[in-house]
Amino acid sequence: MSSSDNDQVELFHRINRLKAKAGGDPNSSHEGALEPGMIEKADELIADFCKDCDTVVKHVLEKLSAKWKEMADAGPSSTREKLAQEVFTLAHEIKDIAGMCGYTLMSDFGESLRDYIIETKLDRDAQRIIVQAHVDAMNAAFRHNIRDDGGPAAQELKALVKVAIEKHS
Amino acid sequence: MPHPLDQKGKSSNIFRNKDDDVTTYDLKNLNVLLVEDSRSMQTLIASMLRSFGVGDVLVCEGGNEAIGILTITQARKKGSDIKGIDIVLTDWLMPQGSGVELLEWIRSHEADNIKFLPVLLLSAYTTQKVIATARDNGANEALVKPVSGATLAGRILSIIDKPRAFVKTENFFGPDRRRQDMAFKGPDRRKIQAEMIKVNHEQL
Repeated sequence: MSSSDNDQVELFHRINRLKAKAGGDPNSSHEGALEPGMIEKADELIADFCKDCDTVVKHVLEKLSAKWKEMADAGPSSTREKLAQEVFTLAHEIKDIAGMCGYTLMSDFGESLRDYIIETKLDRDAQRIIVQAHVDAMNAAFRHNIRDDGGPAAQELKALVKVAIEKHS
Repeated sequence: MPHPLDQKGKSSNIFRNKDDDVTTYDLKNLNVLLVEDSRSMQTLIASMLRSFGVGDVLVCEGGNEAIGILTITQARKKGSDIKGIDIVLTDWLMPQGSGVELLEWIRSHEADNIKFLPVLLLSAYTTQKVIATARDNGANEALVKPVSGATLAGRILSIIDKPRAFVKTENFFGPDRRRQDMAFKGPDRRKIQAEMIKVNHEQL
């Protein structure tokens, strides 16, 4: 095999300053640990966060619904792209927060909506029907406290969104 | 397959007890930049980092803002009050500059204290493709949301304890994509001979 500049590989071994800053020996391969109790404290923060889950999820869902309505009413305009970005961000937030708060089904709808918005400019009526179906399904899941995607009600909501996607894509 | 760090007690020290003979890290001198567009997640993850004792957690909403922050913090002069960032934690998908765009900017930067920065990519996606993309763009670690105390601490400790050498090839710059502590049992498909590798050791 002939060697050329393109085949050149460089390796950089750096001094482990991070380990030194954390109080470890940068030349040692021994691993360190966090102070006992810190992990538990972090998990308590998640548990505290989840206590307010319903309020937080409701708040984000209301914001998403309102922003989507604003966008749907706006018609073709320069503000639409900005609004679409805000709807995207809120769908992304629903995906994260609902997932963390045990609303698996809503989280799945949030993810599906977010991914759909990435792929489209939402400038056709048919596309807007798909977004509306996602928003309606998320609101229904919250209103009826449908958390996971196992039960018949969850299947029904998933089917509604699926039909909207298949029919209007 | 679960990340090795997520298997309790298997390859991580995070669950060790007070009596075990390991160094207890103090993260008060570490400065972390958290890039996350969701306000709720920002608050939660920043609080978790502070509960680990991290000294400073700077928070911003997107890759573009992060680039602005890093440009200032990493260019600080000696003796300045501005603190340099030690670790970047970034979300994957953000409207104001994605995690991958930020990662590309970091790894292609000229300054050593930017291009070698450890980057932990947070993602709500769970696909192998995302993890592979993170790795191939030079992320040190990836973590799938929702996070737990153990998974977040595990990734931070992995960055501190198991830094990989950086590799520069024609089309890649980032931490070695092969984890040296995991034995490879397949055939040797490497095309590069030892004499074609230039090794740089950083000196103090």
